[in-house]
Amino acid sequence: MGDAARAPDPDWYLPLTPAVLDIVVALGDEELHGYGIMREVRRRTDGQRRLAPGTLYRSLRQMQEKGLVEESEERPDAGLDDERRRYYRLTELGRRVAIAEVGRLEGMVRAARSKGLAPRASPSGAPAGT
Amino acid sequence: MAPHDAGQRDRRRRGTALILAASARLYGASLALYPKAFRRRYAEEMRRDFCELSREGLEEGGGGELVRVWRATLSDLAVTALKERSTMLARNAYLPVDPRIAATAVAAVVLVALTVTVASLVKTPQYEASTTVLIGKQGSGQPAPLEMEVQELQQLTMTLAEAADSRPVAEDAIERLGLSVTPDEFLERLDAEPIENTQFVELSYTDPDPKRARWVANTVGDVLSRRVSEVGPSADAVTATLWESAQVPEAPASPNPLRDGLITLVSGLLLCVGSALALPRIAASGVERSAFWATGAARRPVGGARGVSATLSTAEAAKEKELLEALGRRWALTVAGAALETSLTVEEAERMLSTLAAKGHLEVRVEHGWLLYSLWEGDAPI
Repeated sequence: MGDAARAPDPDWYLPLTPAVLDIVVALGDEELHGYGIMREVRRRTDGQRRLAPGTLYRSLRQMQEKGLVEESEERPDAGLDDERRRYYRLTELGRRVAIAEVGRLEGMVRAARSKGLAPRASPSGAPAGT
Repeated sequence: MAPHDAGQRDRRRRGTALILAASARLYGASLALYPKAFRRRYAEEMRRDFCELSREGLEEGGGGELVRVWRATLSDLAVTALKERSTMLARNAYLPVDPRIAATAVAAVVLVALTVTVASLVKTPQYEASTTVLIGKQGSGQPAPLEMEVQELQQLTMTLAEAADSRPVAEDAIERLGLSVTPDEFLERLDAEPIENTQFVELSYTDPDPKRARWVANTVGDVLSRRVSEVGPSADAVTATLWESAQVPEAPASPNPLRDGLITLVSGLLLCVGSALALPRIAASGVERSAFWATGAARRPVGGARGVSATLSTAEAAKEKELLEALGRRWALTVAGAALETSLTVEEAERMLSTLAAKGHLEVRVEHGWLLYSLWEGDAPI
């Protein structure tokens, strides 16, 4: 296929919207269906962030078109889940884009910290004062 | 367990099920706000997920939580449906021009109209005073046919209107008024028009000073009247009588900033619309011809991508040409690959490829997790 499948630069896709970032983080280590993604986002943020169906599926459509996520053929928990559910997983590109975005955010946090806009990290890794 | 408790629980369960069913039905109906393609792909999942959300909400927080779920879902639905529809609108290229170009053109027209309005506002106001002179003829004692007489008088009126606007009248009036203008400058400000189907001639003079405008108009009427009476004091002499004296004008005749600005705005917008409709078609016909011959896609007989370009702007058509040439060279491309091969951004490549694919001009398939766009076999270069 030659250049057709040449890997694109993940930086082209940055910055990610908050919803897309939530989705890539949710799919980071498992394949999930739409409702599973919603639940995972809510669990991870202690209910601070909730993805509504419109934002979730609009983001998934855009991510599928850009090749960041794809539908999975497998059903991880076929016994428990509705067979009609679609499962989504990160593509290799999606994973690289997620890593690039997290790196970008880390750089941003470092810069903010150096200007006193974020709490300093303690030696254990947690922000000071926590 | 008391039968009474079991019955109550059963009633509650049935009530919850009814609320959830009604809620799901209502949400399902509201999904009609999304474009058809989006609905076809995601509506079933969205409806199922909403049911889960509602059920969970009811179980965890009762009716209050269900209301919260609905509130969050409705605001999300309104925003995302609108965004999705505008995405589809842009992809289907319903608009004949790039919205950014259209916005720039409209902004330019508005700017020009504002400039014209401001220029009008700073221009010195000009006042116009008018006087009316009645043209007549003294009877010779010999009756003439009525039709001939009317015709003759109207011709006479036209002749005297020309005379009023002539150099001798101007020189006479300048001398009488002691004005420091040349006869040519004077005549530029003077206008003499016969009033149709009457024997009246209207004399108008334009001047920055309203009083002077009135003074000059009345003087010209006088001069005309005197000169006509001097021409032929015979029995059937022509007469010019000052019928209505000029008044001091209250409002300036020009400029009219509002009118000038509106005329500029309307004509500018009409020009924009005309250009938007005509230019892309002219340009696209040339660009797409070369693009499709270059890629071999011209061989595609029905619904060929030629029809797509017909509604694109010049810039869009040039980009599409570039994209199709890249597809001709590489046969299959990902969105990112297309961006690498052309000057298009990832967003532009994505939009154009999906538009062409949606219209059936490109083949789409997934290989190793990559969405690949390619020309149909018959369109690929030999």
